[in-house]
Amino acid sequence: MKIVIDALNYIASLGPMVMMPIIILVIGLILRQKLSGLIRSALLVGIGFAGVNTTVNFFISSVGPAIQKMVSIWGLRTDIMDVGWPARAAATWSFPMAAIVVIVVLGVNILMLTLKWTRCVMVDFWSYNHFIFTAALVWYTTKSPTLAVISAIITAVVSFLLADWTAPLAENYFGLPGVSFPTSNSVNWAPIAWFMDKVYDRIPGFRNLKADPEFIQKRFGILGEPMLMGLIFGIIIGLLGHQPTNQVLTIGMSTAAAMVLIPKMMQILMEGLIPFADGIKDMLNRRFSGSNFTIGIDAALTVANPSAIAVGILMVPTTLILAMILPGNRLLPLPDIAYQAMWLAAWPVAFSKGNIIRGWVTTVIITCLVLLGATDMAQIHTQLAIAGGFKIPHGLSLISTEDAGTHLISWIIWKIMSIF
Amino acid sequence: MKKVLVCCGSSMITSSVAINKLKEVFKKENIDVTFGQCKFSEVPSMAKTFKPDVIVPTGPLDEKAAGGVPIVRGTSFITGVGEKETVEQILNILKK
Repeated sequence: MKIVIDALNYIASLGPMVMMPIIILVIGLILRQKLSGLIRSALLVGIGFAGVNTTVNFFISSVGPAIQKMVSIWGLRTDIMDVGWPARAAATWSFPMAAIVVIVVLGVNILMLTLKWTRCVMVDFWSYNHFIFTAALVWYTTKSPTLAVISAIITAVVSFLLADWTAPLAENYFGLPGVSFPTSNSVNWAPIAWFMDKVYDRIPGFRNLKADPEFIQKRFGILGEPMLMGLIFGIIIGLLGHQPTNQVLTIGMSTAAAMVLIPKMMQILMEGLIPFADGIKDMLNRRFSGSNFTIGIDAALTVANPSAIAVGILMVPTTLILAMILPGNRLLPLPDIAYQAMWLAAWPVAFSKGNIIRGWVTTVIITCLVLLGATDMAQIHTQLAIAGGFKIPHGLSLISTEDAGTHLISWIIWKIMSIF
Repeated sequence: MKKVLVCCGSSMITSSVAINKLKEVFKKENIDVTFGQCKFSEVPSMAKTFKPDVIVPTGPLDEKAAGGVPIVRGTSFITGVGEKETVEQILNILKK
C-alpha cells in the first residue's frame, strides 16, 4: 500500500495537469478502453485542468485583493473568498488518492448491487468527486490513508441509500423514471427537506401559503445571469473597497470574465472526461440493467424545474444577507450564488411539491448550515486548493467554496474521523 | 452549417454529456453542426446572438426563453432512457 501511496504522491507533485492524464490512462487501460480515444481523453482532461487552474487563479488574483480591501474598510467578517465550485472539484480530482477512491467505491457499488443492498447503479463518474472530497478532508486531518478511504466508502454507501430512498420522489416530482441521484452533496439535504416539510404541515396558516414561480422568474430572472451578476458584484466590491474608478471597472470586468471563462475551461475538461466515463457507464450497464435498478445520475437534473429556479433567484439576495449576518460565517459566497441556491432548493421544493415559500424557508435553513460548513472547512480547502495548483495571493489567507459547504455527509464523517 | 444550442444549469456538466452524444450522432448522419453551450439563464441572449436551429436543454426550458427556436429536451442523454426518440426529434428539425 505504501508503494502505491508514494507513487501517487510523486505523480501528484507533478501537478494535476500532468497527474490527471496519467491517472485516466492507467484506469482506462485497466478497464481495457481503446487507447486512441483514451489518449485524447487524457490530454483534454489535463488541458481542462490547466484551463481551470489558469482562469480560477486569474479570478483569485484580480478580485481577491479587492475583497480584502472591502472587508477591512467595512470591518466585515466575510474574509474567506469563495473561488467557485470548479476550483473545488478540480482540487478534489487532484487529490493523490482520487484514483484509489474511484476504484474502491466502484467496487463497493458493484458489491452492493450484487448483494441487492442498493438499486442504484452509479454511472455518474463525475460525481465520484464528492466521495473523494470526504477522503481528502479526512486525510488532511488524520494523515491516514485507511481512514480516508473508509470515509469515502461511508459517504458512497449513505449516498446510494439516500438515492434509493428519494428515487420515488425523483420519478414523481422531477418526472424522471428509472433514475436516482447518488450525488452526495445534493441528496444529503433530502432528510432535512423531508423533515421541514412535515414541520410546515403542522403550522396553521403558514402551511397554506403559496407563490408563483413564473412571476418570480419573469421579474427577477436577471439575477440568475452570471455574466451580468459578475459585473455588478465586481463593481460593488470595487466601490465598497473605495477603489479608484479604473480599478472598479477592472474588478467588475474580471469577475464577469471569470463567470464566463471558468465554465468554458470546465467544458474542455468534461469533453475529455466524458468518453472515459462512458466506458465505465457501459461496463456497469452491461452488468446491471432492467427495472430492478435505477440509473444513478448527476443531481444537476434536479435543478432545472421552475420552483427550484424561482427559489434560487430569491436566494441570491437572501444568501448575501445571510452571509453578512450569520454569526460564525466568514464565507463571501459570490461566484456560485445563484447556482448553489438552485442546487440546494431542489429537495426542499420536491418534498413540498413545488411550494416556493416552503422551499425558500428550508433552503434558508440549509444555506446557513452550508455557510458555516464552508467556513469550517476553509483551512483544509485552502491546502487542498494549493496542492491542486491554485495560487493564493499575499494578503489572502483562506479560500473556500459554498460548494464545499454543501457536503454535509462529508463534514459529518470528517468530524467523526477527526476524533481518531 | 446547422447550429445546436445545448444548455443546462451550470453549462458545464450535463450539457457536456449531451453534446458528446450528439457529436457522435451528427458524425454518423454526416451533418455539419456547430455547438453552443450555455446555462439556462443565458438562453434568451444566446438565442438572439447564436441563432441556433434547435435548443437542447437537459431540463425543462421556458418556451418564452427560446424566442421561437424549437426546443427538444435532452434529458434522455443523461438518463439513458428515450435517447433514440430525442435524437429523431432533433434530426427531424435539422433536416428541414
